[in-house]
Amino acid sequence: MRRYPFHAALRPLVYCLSLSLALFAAGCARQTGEPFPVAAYQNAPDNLQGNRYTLDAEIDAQLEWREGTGRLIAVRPLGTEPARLPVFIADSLGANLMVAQRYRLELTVRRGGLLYVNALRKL
Amino acid sequence: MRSLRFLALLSLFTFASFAQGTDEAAPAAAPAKAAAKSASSTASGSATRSAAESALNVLGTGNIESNTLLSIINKAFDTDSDAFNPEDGTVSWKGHTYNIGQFRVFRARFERYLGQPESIDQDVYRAIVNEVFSLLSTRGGEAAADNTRKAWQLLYRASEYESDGGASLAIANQVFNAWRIRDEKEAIGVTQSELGRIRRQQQSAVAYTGDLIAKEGASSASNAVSNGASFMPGTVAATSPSNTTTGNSTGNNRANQNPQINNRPSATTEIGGSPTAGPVSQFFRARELAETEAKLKAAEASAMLTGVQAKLQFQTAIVNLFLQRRFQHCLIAASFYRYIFKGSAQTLEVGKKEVASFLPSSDMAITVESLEFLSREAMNETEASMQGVRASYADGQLVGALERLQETFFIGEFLPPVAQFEREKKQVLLNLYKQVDEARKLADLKDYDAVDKLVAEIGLTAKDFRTSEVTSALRAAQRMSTLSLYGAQQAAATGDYARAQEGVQRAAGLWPLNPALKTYTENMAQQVDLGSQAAVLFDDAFKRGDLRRIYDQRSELAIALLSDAVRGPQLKEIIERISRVEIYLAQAKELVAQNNAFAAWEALDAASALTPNDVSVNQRRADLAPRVAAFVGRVDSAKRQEESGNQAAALTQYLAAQGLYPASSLARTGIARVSGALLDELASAAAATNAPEATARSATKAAKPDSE
Repeated sequence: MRRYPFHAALRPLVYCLSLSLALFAAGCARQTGEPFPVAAYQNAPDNLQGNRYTLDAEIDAQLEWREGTGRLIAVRPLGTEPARLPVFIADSLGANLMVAQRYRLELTVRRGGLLYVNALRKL
Repeated sequence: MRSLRFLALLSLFTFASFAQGTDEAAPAAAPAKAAAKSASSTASGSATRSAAESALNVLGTGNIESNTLLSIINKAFDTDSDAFNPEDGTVSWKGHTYNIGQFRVFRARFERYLGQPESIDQDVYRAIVNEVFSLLSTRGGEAAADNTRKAWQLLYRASEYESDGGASLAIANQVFNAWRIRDEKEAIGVTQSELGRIRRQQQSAVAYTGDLIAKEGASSASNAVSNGASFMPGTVAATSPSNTTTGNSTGNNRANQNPQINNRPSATTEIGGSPTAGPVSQFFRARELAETEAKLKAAEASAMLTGVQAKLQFQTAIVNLFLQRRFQHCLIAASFYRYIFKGSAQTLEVGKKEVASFLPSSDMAITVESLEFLSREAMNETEASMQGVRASYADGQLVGALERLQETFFIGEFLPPVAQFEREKKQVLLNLYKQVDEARKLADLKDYDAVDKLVAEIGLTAKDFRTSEVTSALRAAQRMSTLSLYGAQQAAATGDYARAQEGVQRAAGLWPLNPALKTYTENMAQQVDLGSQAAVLFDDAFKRGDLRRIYDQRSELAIALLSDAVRGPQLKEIIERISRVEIYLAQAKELVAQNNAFAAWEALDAASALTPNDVSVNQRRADLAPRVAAFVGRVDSAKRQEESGNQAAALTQYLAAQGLYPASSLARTGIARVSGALLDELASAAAATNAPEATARSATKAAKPDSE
């Protein structure tokens, strides 16, 4: 009888753990973005055009909605100075948003300083 | 306008016309004289006629003179005719028109009469004339010739006075001429009688000779043939010259003629120792007789012509005196005429047409007595009229007295009742006359204020002056003028300058000295001046955006630019805009007092949007800016981003501003505006992108909902 080494016995466990970590990492993909510089954006939004950020924020109010296009939402960033930022959430994201809900937003600063939400996840 | 002016002056001129002579005052007043004459108190023409007819019926005087009187009264006081015609300088009396020369001259004569003092000369002159009348009235009896001669001599004395006007001298000369012609006629009568006597002698001679020839012709015809009777022309020739001079009526001629007559047998030819007469001598005798007949006829014609000439000259003088209204002298001349010419010569041969116009019937026999009657009628009327003048004067009816006096003066200018009118009364009437004349002239100039004062003065003097009528007419004219001016002002306010000009012209026509006209003119001048200045001011301020200055002078500019089609609406819009700014400023002031700086600033911002360059608004904003700097910074930034097309950045700033002042209307409206615009951009962008790619991306995202 062939005798299996100990690390070989843990190998399935390691595979399971690796798979679990891989799966977890996939679920927390936007956590990897830089936090959104609120003050810098308010002072000079043009300087941030093209950047991608992560922003944890609370839904403050829905400013405008255009069916088939999306909606403009005013959000209050969490963990920063009190401020209100407008973000655009396309209808294609299929999000159900309500005031006071908190989300982690993966967003891009587009032309004109538009904060375009690429993805969001409720916190 | 003219009718109004006429109404305004009608009352005045109804009275004042006697000074001008253009109205019907004289004929209208004339019935009063007729009434006085016919012992009736009524003043109307019809009443006068009725009174005259009644009086005639009562007296049973239906004779021609009375009818004439009635007709004269009717014609003289016909209220439908004008007594005075100033255009041709005539005055009508009893239907006849007297030419009194230039009316201006006649007015001057009347004024001179009113101002003329009484003189002793007048009294002396009147005494002389009365003496003439007295002498001529006693023509009957043996002293008639002497009285007439004395009256004739007095005429030369009367002619020396100015008031006589030479009329007495004309009569005296006419009388002298008539007498001279009468003497000539008497001389012709002597000649005629002598020629008649000569004619009779010649007739006898011709008849005798004819008979002798006939007698001797039959018995001694043969002797006459055998003796060769010859014709002795020397004998006949010697007698012919003397016969042909019988036309001369001197004594020498008569003396020359006697021998011829006494030597009648010598006119025959001695044939055979017996007197004989030849046919040749008979022929000459017949011719001499024919010549004498012709001379006699010529003498008769000359006598007749001389008499007619004298009569016509005298009648011409009488008619001229009558037509010159020298009625006294007309009577004097008629008296002389009646004395000089006998009853068969009383029919008027000259001036019948003129005199007939004074009489009611054209088929009447116009005689010298007709002229006497008319002259006495005029004198009586003058006397009665002057009594009426004195009565009116005594009652204080000075206007009526002046009217009657002027009417009487037209006819009886040279008669004693007019000349004897008291100096003091004439002076009062002269003053009234001048006042009324001045009032008329002022009324012509439409100086109503002066007329008003003068009329009031006249009213104090003359009780019968219709002051109230004149005053009311003046007031009416003044009111109409003012109303027209008001209409002009209203028309000018609405920009209807044509109607305004028409109204001003009408107002000036009614009352040129209207004080409101002066004020209106000055205001219009100022308005025109301000209008030109206001246009410059407005354009300058408008160009610089200084609406506040325009607003501050809005009252003056509104009047000046009211009719300006371009600036008028602009001014109106500016006034409305600045009025709203004023409201914002007041609101901001109140909000600052309530310590609501953000709201105050927003009010000022709204005001600034209306007037970006308004000093008051900007100053308030500057004062308030430090207190709302952050908010203002966000809003300004938002506006800049919005203007540059960065809608998202602008939205961010508006949200930031709203964070500072949640009640901000600026932020709220900005957010709504920018959000809409931003979504429009996104929608456009989405439509522009590739549709399949978008669909695929959507599908991919939809496939990863769990991962989010």
